[in-house]
Amino acid sequence: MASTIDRLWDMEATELSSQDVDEIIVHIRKQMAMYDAGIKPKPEANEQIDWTGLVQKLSGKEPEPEIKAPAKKTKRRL
Amino acid sequence: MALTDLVTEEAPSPFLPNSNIQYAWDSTSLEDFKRCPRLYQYRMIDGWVSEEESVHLRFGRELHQSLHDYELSISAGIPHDDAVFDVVKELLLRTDDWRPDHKYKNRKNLVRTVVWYLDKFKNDPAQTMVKDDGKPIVEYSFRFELDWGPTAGQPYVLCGHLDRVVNFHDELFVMDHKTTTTEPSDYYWNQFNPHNQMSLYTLASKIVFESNIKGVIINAAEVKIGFSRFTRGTTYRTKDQLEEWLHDLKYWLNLAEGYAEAGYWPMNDTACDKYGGCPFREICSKSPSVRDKFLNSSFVKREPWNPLQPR
Repeated sequence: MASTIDRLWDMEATELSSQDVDEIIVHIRKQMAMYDAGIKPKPEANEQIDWTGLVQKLSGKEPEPEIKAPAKKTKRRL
Repeated sequence: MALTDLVTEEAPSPFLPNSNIQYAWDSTSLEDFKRCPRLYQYRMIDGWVSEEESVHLRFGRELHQSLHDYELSISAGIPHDDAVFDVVKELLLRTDDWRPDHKYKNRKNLVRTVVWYLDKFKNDPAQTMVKDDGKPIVEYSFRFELDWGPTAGQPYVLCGHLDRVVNFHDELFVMDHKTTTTEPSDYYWNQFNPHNQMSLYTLASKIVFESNIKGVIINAAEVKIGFSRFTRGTTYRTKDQLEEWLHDLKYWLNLAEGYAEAGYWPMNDTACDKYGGCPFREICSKSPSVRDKFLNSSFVKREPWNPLQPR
């Protein structure tokens, strides 16, 4: 279920009340306080995780390149 | 060099009538031309822009607008928290139709970057300079003529927008906002000297404000998935360096005239991988006969960038 803050982000800006805008600012400031305190923020629901970077960081290895199958050659009709 | 009046309702064309000879140059068009004449052609002459580029442009534009709005509110005596509220509200309204799914440059990260920046620099040691009319010098459009030009009656014009002019430890600087998605390293900072935009901005501010501006403070906002970070770096220019930049400019603009007269802008194939990779690399890698098809499918055509467009 979407949280209150997610719902606020999804709303049209014209529908946001002053209280809603305040809530967004408070949420952003909380994120900043957590970051300043060294607490790593959880990725937002719709934000992608940088898997390639994470694999690289954890393993210390470059990720293996994706191997693509060669395109099939079509036979020319005579 | 002479200052010209800044305020115009509708921006005139930066090109001489019925030609591709550009007489009004800003750092963006000049940088494109210096990097690669073909890149300049695609952007400035033809007006092609990629989806990816438009996300970066919009993100940067909205950030600039927000910081500008904040400065105006503070100079009008509005307290910090109220100014932040107004800025965020306006930003949300302006970007209501803009919901890109970009990993970093998206709406949420934009609003977060603005709030974090304004809170971090609530008591900014770099003080915004104020004009005689009491308004802060932010998003300041400049324009001045050079003493030579493409025709006898039309001198070259250099123009642009200074993000902010500040007093930092009793010295004057231009401040320029940049956004990046990677952590600014020595490599990042070293790119600003020599640097076309920073040399032009230092020169312009010296002429426009008739003051001893030392250089540019680069205000880098690093935008990540869960956080935004800010770092500042300074780049200085001596009088000799600025004279050299202006002297070199003569040669660059002569070259631009030549290409415009020939109607051909050659490709600089040593620059394709620079600056994070040229957005047109995919196009230039195709056979010339099919490039138009690829341009039409991957890029959109819009009104070409106009350096004379006021903000």
